[in-house]
Amino acid sequence: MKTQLKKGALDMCVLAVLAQGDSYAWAIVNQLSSSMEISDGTIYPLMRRLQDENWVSTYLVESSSGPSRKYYRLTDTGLASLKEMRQEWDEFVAEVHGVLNGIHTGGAR
Amino acid sequence: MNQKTFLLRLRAGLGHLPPKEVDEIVGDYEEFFRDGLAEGHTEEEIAERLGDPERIAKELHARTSLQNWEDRKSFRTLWQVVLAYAGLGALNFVLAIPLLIWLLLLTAGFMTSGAVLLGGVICTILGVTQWAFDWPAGDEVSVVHSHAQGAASGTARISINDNGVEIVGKDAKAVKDAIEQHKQQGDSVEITANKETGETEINIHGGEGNVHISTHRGKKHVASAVDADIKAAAADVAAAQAELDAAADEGDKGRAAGQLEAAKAREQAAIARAEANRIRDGVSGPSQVVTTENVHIVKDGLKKEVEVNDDDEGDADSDNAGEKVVKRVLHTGGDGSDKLLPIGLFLLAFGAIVLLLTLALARWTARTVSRFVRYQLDLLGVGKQEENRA
Repeated sequence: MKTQLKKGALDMCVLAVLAQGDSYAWAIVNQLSSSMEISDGTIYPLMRRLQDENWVSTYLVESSSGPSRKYYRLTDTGLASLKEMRQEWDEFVAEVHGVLNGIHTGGAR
Repeated sequence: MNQKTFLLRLRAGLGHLPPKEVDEIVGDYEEFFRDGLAEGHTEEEIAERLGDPERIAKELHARTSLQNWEDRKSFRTLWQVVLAYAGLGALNFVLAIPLLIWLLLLTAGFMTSGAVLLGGVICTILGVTQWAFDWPAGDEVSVVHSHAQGAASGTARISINDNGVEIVGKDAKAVKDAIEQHKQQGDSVEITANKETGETEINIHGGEGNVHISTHRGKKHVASAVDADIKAAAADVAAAQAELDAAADEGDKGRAAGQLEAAKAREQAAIARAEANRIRDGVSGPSQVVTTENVHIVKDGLKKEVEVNDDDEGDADSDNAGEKVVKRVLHTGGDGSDKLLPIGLFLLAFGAIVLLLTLALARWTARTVSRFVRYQLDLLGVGKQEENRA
């Protein structure tokens, strides 16, 4: 149950992180893992899928020390998808809350 | 596991992908290590966080093949998806075997329909060229050697009359010579007419088979012969009546009445004669009639009914009394070469149906499989964490 919930939510979380500003893989993973458990190794397959969906674009930034770093940026379609997902998520959470509260009050009687 | 080992194992696992893509992926993970090291983590810690490099490689591989499938839908990419997914170890063994068999069946169906379609195209083309250009040659048997080949050739008719069977016409001699030539080569043409049974037979023995044509005498001309006799008898009656009128003038009625009786007797006799002729099947008729009713052609054991053309009746009724022309070119399809076109069209239709069916099933399979694979892959990314914790 938790796995399936996470699966749907993970794309949205990554998009939400990028909505706050362009970022790179290590930073994205750290930001996500500070509040949820994810598998670090699969961040790249995930990012590639988001690129295939055209939700995310990449660009390279030259670094003073060593090779350049790959940055990810949210595209307009990505932003639109994020808003849509967010709305669905909020509706879903509200529905679940409604049911759970109903059961709770029903049990109290 | 240090960074070098991790990247080597990752690179080895990605071996099937295009080198450019492998370099890009490995570059991504190198960057991840750099960022981690910069924050003070050890290589081992970072490798631990990333997880099993082979598993990552397999997942990337499966994703890439799925992407290829979506970019270019074909049997090859579908196979790649299934194989990559099977390599992932996520595909249940019980589920994998039937799926592979099903894919094999689909592939076989695809190939079969292709082969049938190809055969159909070839047969149809040959059938059309045969129809249009007479190539490849069909089986043709000429009953009358109206066009004998070689130096001696010409057109003649086979005539069956009171004299028996004759070859007549302006080129009769040339045709006889041609038939003689064929006889020397081992071919033979025998034509026999049996007055007793009224049957006529034509037997042609050739290198490639035998043709036998037999006929039975038609009733139509027998009837006309009888009619003629009756008309003759009626004429006798009329003559007798005339005699009677003549005699009446002379007053010798008794003799005339006797002549009338005699004439009537002659009419009866004529009817009886005609009846006898009918029984003898018109042997005494003015012409030896051969109709082509009930004609059988026996060739290589195949028995075929041949339709009677209306113009044969015309010949029989023609003023050309005393002979009946038997002239016909028979087309027989002993080797089935004249069926090329229908066979070709049938194969085309059959192949097309199988192909469409296979394609529809393949589409359905591909949709189902790719949806299932995608779902499983998406689970994998987060699922692994759960496994590790368990």
